[in-house]
Amino acid sequence: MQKYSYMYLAIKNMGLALISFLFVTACDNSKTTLYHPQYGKTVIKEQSTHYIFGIHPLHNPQRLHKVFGPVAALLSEKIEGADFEIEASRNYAAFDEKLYAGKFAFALPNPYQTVLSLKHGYHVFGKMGDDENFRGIILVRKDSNINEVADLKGKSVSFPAPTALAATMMPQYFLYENGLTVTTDIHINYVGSQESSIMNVFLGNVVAGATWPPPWRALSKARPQLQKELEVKWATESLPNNGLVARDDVPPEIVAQVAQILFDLHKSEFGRDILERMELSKFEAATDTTFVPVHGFLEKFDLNVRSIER
Amino acid sequence: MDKIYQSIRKILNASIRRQLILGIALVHAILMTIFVSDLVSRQRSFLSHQSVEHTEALAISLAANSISWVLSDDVIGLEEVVLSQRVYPNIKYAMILSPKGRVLAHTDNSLVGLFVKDSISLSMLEDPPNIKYLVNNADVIDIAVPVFSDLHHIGWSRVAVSQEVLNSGLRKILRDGIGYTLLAILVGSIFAIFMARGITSGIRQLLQVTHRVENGEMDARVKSVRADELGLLGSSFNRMVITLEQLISDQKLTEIELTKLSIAIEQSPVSIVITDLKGDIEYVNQKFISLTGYSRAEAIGQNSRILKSDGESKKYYRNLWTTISTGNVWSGEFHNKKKNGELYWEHARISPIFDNNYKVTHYLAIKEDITLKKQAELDREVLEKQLRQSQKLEAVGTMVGGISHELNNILQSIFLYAGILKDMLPDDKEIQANIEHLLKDGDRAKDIVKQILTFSRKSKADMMLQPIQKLVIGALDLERSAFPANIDIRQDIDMNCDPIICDETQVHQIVINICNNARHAMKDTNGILSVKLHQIPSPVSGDTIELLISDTGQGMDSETLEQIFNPFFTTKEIGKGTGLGLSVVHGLVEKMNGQIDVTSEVDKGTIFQILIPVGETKEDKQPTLKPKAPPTNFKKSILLVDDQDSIRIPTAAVLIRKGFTVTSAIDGKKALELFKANPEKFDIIVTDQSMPNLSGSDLTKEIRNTNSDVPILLSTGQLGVEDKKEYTGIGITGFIQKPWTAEELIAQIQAMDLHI
Repeated sequence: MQKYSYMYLAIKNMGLALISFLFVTACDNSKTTLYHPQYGKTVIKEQSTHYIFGIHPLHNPQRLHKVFGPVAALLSEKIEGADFEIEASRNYAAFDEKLYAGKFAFALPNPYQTVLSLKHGYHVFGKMGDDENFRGIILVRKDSNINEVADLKGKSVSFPAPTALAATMMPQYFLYENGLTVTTDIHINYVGSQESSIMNVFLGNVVAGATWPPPWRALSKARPQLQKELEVKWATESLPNNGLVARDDVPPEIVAQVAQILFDLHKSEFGRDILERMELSKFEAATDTTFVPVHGFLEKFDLNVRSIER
Repeated sequence: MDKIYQSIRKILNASIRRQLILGIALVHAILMTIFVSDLVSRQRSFLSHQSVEHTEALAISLAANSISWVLSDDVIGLEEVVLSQRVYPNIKYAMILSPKGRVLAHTDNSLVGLFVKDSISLSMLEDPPNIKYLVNNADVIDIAVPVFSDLHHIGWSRVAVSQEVLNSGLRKILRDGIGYTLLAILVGSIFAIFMARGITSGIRQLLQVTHRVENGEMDARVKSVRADELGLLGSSFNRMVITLEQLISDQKLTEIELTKLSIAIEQSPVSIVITDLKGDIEYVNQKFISLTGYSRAEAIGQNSRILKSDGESKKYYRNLWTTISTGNVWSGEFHNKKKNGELYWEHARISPIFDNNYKVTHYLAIKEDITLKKQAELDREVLEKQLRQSQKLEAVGTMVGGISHELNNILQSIFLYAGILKDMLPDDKEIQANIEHLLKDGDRAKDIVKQILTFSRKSKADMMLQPIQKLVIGALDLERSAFPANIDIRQDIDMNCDPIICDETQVHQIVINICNNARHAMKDTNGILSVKLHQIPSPVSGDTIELLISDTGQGMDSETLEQIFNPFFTTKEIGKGTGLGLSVVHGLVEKMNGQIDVTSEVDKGTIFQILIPVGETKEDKQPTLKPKAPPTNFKKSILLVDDQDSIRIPTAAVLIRKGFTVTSAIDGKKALELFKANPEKFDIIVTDQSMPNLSGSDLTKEIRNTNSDVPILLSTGQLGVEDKKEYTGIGITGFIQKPWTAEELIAQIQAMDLHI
């Protein structure tokens, strides 16, 4: 019996050592302190005045930021005590909402939005040049059978957004002028952005898509396949280009400085690089009256095509 | 702890069973422990890593999806994107922050618009914008990814994933792992116990049988019906024991054989020497030691040349080494030298010893002491020489004997006719003188014939036990007169010598013949003749009488020595010697069972050594005739028998002249016919011995068979003591030796007549 007791003693001792080892190895040695982020209303004291420069969805937010980000950086650099931030919007409706809510200190709305912003505490201090580019174009696939406007009847056509003046409203008026009752004769798809409208045509989701020249040039340049397969079937008349508005509570000197910087962009190589990204030759001074022709169009559009806010 | 270690060690070393059980249990425990801990650790690490990656991926995805919304400052859009992260399991919170730390969107939308203010969050804001692993512990993984738009930092995407479920799962895994470990230990231990019992029981049995075999029980066997390795081991063990038993038995037999061989070699009557290839001795047996005088320690290591006595040439040894070094057996004789310098002969047979590769490794010498044999060979050579000499002499003797017998008959005829003539012419003095000359020459011839017959042993001597010293002295006395005065004759005779069996005449003959030779050898010098006689005692072989006769004459060379005993060999001038003297001496000495040896040196002298054993023999006595009164009447009837006409006719004439009535028969057969025809007619029968058809002795037997006692007188050339005894035994009454004269014959007849 004694020999067995020795054996059991040994086994027991080894077992205890083993279990201890297991527990030790099983334990996580790292510190397990519970963490939660802390929040507060502490406002970080800005060392400079922050101005949000809203750009209407000329492009998708990323591209927009890429194109106009350098402008904000230039403005922040040039204007002492001011910090500019470009803000895009996911769609025209979102931009409209922010613009008309007075979120933006500065904005680059389309002409239609420019006109409407006047009623929401903004005034025009400038505009994009190259009015001839501010027109709508309707794209179709080259292999499509769309030759006449009437061929669009009963088909789907994409537009960026209802309030996109050049990319939507002006093409819709064109179609009206060419015999289509837009609201009934075609299926309208508001796809949210210029690029989406172009891509919908390319993908064949729609038989035609409306946009305006800058995004078409930019996107077709970036995607040569678009150039190969799509064509600009129709183009509209032009109107004054996108405006530059400032909220009325922005100090005039700031507005003047912003205007000057923007208007002088085309005078420097750096500025020209910035403008080139925008497919723009220059910014130019403008006032509220510059956009009276837009008023006239809006009236005709409202009357003949569809109701809009004026 | 030390006590525990000691107890464990004690347990382990005591039994394979315990070692197996503990070992398997320990192995199970260690392996399972390692496995489980490693598994848990790896699982934790893997899952943690996976969590970090997932969290990071979520944050990155959130950041990517938030770019447009951040750029648009579209809180609703951001909120939608952030809230979409809730579907990810275990997500604790997700948020989009502005570069300044303002919450733009949060899974908890009540926090939108607030600013993060804890140190970890602020550290994120202060550091350059890159992926931040803000928290990574057992509780939560919090990762912040900067939101970039065209390289412009526009905000932060931050996701935190709870580790609670992971930890809970790991704990469960660990718990289960421990359980499996303990189960494995238990199962392993149980298995080990059974396996150990199964293995060790077989081993224990094997151990028991091994002990029994160790104690000499060669009939012990493993009883096993197992089919596994232990069963095979048991079967192999059994076979091994059987083989071992056989080997032991064989080994014992081999040992007995080896011992027997060793004893045989050691006790061998021949020397056995084993050397290496150089001839250095590696082994010697007892016979070698006793023969050579070298001890084993003295011999081993020495070269075999320590036995050399220079009795053999270098060429001899070269031949030996050439033979054996080429793998052949050499056989030959050595005249070796013992340790004390004494020489001895040995016959050696030296053979190479080969190893299994047929390579010569040693030499084996088997050597037999042949000293005695060699001596015996030498003696035999001498004896053979002597035998050849004796045979030669005997052959000559036989031839000469035959001639002498014929001469005797011729002399007998001469004596008879001379006697007749003498009788017929008594008055003629001249004729009488001539007849006397004739008779004298006849006597001389008779002596010569007698000498020859003695040499040829045809003449039987009267051998009797008698002291030789008187005979030698008598012979010397006879010789003195024949020696010149310038030769000094010295004698040294031991008068106390024991008698020997000899014949007086023969002893005289020996002494005289040797002395005659000595005289001849010293004829021109003043020499000394020395005669010594003494007895040599020998308790083993019997005493010997040594007679030494030496002279200081001219000596003989070795060539002469070899021939001196040859018949008819003489160094004397022709006509001065018969060359039979020493031959006769040799033969006479042999007849006395003695031996003769001679040494001589030219111009120094010669020594004759004669050795005769002392002894006794039966004395032969001549039948004693009864004395009778002198004869008065010669008118007796004689039957005369002789096949030789030259003897019978004159004998008959002589007898008739003397008044006898003689009836002659030409041979024994005729004589027997005459006798049987009228047995009463004859008073005496005189017969020759050597006759064809019926010899004299045979005639006597025939006559005695008729129960007649008529006196018979036998005439013969050989008349020794033995002959007389033989003739007397068959009934012969009297003898007369040829050649006899008529008067001798008549005297003998008259003597017989007196005794009849």
